Amino acid sequence: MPDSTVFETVCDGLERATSLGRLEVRGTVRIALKQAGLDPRTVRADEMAVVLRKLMPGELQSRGIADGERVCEAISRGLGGLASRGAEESPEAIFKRLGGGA
Amino acid sequence: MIGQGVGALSTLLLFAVGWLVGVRLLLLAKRTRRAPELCLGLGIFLIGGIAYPLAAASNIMGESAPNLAWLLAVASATASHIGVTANCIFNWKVFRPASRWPRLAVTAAVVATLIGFAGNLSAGLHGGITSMADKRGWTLFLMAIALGAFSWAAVESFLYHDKLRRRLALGMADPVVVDRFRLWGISSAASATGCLVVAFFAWTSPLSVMDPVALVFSGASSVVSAVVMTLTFMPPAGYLRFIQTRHATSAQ
Repeated sequence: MPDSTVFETVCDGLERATSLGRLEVRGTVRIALKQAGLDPRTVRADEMAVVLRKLMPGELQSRGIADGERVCEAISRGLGGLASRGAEESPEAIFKRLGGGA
Repeated sequence: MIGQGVGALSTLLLFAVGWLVGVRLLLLAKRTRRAPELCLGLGIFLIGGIAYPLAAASNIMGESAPNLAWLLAVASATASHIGVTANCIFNWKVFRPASRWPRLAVTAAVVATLIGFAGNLSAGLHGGITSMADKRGWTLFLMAIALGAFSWAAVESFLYHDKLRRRLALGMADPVVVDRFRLWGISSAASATGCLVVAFFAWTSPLSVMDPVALVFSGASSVVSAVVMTLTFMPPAGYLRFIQTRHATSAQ
């Protein structure tokens, strides 16, 4: 399964807005996603927005990007219109239903 | 005596949980028309609600009605195999829907079901099932497949629980659902342990799975599996409140 559109969009945005190279950007986003327990292939826009707000600024700062918070905020605003991959139901949605959740 | 007591208690408990949780999930599947609840409901119902009591009845009738005992043993083994296959399909559909290798695992479980059915039937037709020791080979065969399926479920659940725990710290997950993966991992690991115990005693003891020590350990595994399974899929309101309160306290 290829990486999600959300992941690709964020990587493209970071590559344009920072001095980091393509590989470095992708690695940094992957590290932040792993810290958040998320997968680049299935991450949704709302989940990525949380990662951009809570984890990415710190990751960028540790790589010498001073205004990481502003960059992440700008990229996060652009995720609103992106459709998430919805063909497969997530395991947590299934387990929520199996235990009596909606 | 203790072994038989623990064995009887665990069979009764699994029977009750198999019917309660299994039927609840099957009714949910009827409403939602989704594969996960259908597979899991079938797995729990067939193994706990059907196969266990049939195996117990077969053991009781072994000497007084050998033909009936043999038929019950074949029915029990077949129900177990189908239940294990349903569990494999659940693992595939929930945790690895896009991967190819789980299809091979499911295919292997289907083939094992057919082999198990034919093997048990054939052994009985040739007068080969008169004692527990006669079932040893097919018991080991079933336990090997079940051990694989339950271990797979345990590993997937614990791995997913670890991911969700990290999401929970960022406010991206429901604490009750996160805990549900942990519980299903524990229940599956207990079932896998039970399979390992049964396989070990079927292999080493002259009394096979009816060895009193085997009954104590496999019974204890079954009790843990059944209780935790109930907390997973039919949690009492008090338990849900406990999980939410614990999360709220730790988040402060």
